[in-house]
Amino acid sequence: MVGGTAGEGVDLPGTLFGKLCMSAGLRLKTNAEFHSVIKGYNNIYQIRASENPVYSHMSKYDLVLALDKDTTDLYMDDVVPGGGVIYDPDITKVEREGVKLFPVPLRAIAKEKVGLELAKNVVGIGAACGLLDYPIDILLDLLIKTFARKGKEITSKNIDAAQAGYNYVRENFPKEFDYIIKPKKNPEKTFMANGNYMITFGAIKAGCKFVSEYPMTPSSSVLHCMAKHAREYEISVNHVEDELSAINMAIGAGFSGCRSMAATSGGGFSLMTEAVGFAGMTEIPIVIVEVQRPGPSTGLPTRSGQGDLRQVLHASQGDFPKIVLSPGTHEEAFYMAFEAFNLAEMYQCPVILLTEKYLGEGDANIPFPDTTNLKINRGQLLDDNQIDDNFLRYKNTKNGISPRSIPGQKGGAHTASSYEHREDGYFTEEIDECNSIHERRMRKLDTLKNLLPPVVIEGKENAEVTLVCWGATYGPAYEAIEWLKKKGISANLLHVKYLSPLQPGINEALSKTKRPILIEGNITAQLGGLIAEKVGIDIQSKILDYSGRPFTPDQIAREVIKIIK
Amino acid sequence: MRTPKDYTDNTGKPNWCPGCGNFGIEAGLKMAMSKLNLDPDNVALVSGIGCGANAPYWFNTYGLVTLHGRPLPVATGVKLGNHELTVIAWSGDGDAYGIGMGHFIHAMRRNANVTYLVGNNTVYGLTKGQASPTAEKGQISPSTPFGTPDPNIDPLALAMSSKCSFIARGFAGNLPHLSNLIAEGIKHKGFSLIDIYQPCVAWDKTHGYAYYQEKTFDLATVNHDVTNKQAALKMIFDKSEKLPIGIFYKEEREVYEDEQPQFKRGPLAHRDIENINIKAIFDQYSF
Repeated sequence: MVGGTAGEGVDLPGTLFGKLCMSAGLRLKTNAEFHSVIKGYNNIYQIRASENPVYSHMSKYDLVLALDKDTTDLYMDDVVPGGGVIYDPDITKVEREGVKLFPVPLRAIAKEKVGLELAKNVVGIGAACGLLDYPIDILLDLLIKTFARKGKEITSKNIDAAQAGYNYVRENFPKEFDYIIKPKKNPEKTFMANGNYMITFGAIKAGCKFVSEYPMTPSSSVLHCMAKHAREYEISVNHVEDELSAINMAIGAGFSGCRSMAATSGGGFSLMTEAVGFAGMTEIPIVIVEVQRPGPSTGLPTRSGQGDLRQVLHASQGDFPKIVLSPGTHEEAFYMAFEAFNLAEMYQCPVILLTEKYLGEGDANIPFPDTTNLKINRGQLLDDNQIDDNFLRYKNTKNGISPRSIPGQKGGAHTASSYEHREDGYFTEEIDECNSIHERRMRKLDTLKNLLPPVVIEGKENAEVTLVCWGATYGPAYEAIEWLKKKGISANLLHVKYLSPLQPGINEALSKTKRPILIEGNITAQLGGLIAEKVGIDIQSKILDYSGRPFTPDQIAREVIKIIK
Repeated sequence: MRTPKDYTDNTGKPNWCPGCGNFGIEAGLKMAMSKLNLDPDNVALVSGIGCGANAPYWFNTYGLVTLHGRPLPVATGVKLGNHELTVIAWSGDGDAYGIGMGHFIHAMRRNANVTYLVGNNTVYGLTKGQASPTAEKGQISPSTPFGTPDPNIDPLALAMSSKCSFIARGFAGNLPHLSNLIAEGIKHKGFSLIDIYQPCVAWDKTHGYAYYQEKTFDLATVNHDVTNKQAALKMIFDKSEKLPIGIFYKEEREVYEDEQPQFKRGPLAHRDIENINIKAIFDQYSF
């Protein structure tokens, strides 16, 4: 873990350390906890790395690089016995038994070697590299790549800083730390991205050609990533005046025949709400990414949470079909984003990809996803020669899905209206016509529900407890199974991926469990309520965390033990 | 060549009050379309909510009746999705200058190639005559029984300060003039605003056809220089005697979509999206 003061560069050593682990062939996952300020306040960047895939960060640390006094004041109890702390003795003192202390005058070295105190973070990462007995050349190479665009002088200063930190540790604490980074032989090729980037990649692969967004933490990196790759993949990426514009513009692009997307967080989604119903009524395909942070209102802008499930499920007045899905992992974020665009066109309705800051902004390195089975499905979008004189844009069909034309197609002209309308799109208030189209729209959800894969229980059958969760709580819950096993408790996992329509099979799955326990990042057990409403099973045991901090496996294990003992 | 009738959808008839200014705008738009011989299948008419906003039902073009205040973002999205379409947005003054004001200003500075028709009658017709943002201070209406407390906003002045590249005003009772104006707006490369004086026969008895016929004059008759900002501002602000109609200001400047290489190979909506190579992006992040 790297801890420091906002504005002094905590991310840089964090990401560098992540890349170091990646170069050694390790798998990693990160989590950053920071305040909603640009300067001041203690921020931390957590990295967990292993030879095996990692699904979660942890609340305990093997090695801490403390760039400020707050980090040593706040986190020393979280260092594991035998773990180590690199700190600057000129600004803080550390007393903690059973932990190895590595006082390194980070500031003094930075000032002496490169004349810049700010370089202390790079000195620190050099020191970490030395302690972990990892070749400094790899770190230096990473620094060259990182600073390539900033010119030779800045690059060489950073190299000097890293080398100085490394040398200091090698001279003063040779072989004193029990942990080393050992490069893995023939590691699988991986790439590193956060969940928002994974969603963006899935969207690009799905042929998304239009994005409009208003920046909002923690969703902004969707916009940044899209904007960065916009020209390479020929995508219109637009930073617009507000979220109302963002979603309405994306709906306009959807009407024109582009696969389109808008991304935001809970507050921005609130502003988009009216247009979600507009897309539902006009049956224009659109994908909305909602990266949750804790509310209500401005809430905790830079933290994570799962409090928006009910908001997205119920967004906009009236009843209309809406698809809500939520990925558990980085891989799933990629695949589900791809799927979201297919679903939007197949069912001609808004699709909401619901995730949270923990996944959205957390980095992981993963093997290249297999894309051979990813096939574009544009649903009932007609070819020019399929449009005949009988074309009705909102035709009443058995499965609820109507044929669709886009502007420019001969004979396909129609009015898509936010008012209730007939099969030909013309407005109506006739009772039979209104009922018929309303029922037809809702039938689309039944059609989809019958095609969704049922939930699966992961892990051992007949386990003592079943952890029930959604979204990125999957990672810590998945790892909690191993923690519970060490304590002699068998556990398995039920992860609900489709929230609207609610994924089938929950009833059957729960009926096989001994003791289901809900794990959610909100105060009202929103998934629990949804299951009670739709499935009729009211899960009594709940572990709810609404602190804005994501779950950790050890925390879940601890709470499970409390519940069952 | 097409005639105005070639843009009519005969499914139903406009449900506006007899004498409504919207009939003039509808006729003016159809005349402009026929003048330019537009293919109805290549036109998207995007409206908001209000009396005029029902217009798309009676055109045989592609149409979108959106939400109150949102026609401009939707129209912009349609245009960027397929920039070969002719995209026309149609609002009332409440739609454009009340609830949709934020979009109005940003659409003008963005300068996507969209034509914006705003029926300006100083009232919210569809909700029974409340004062709109263009109503002058003191206008009596159901929501302002003692007179509206706020002074009116001036959309054309806002357009000038928002870098709008085509600023015009028409009158729904002067069809030859209005249809020319709309045709010029559609031909203009970039965002074109055409604010249209539009009598509301139901709720505003003071600003009828006779009033506008008497008060308006054509800018083309006074040698107005449409490229001169100062001259345009003078015409916009000077309301002492007569109300000018016509093109106030016009400039050629960068069009939003034309500046971006993404659009060069044709409409984004027509791109082949099978087999996009995403591996190339994974490689970029494998360091």
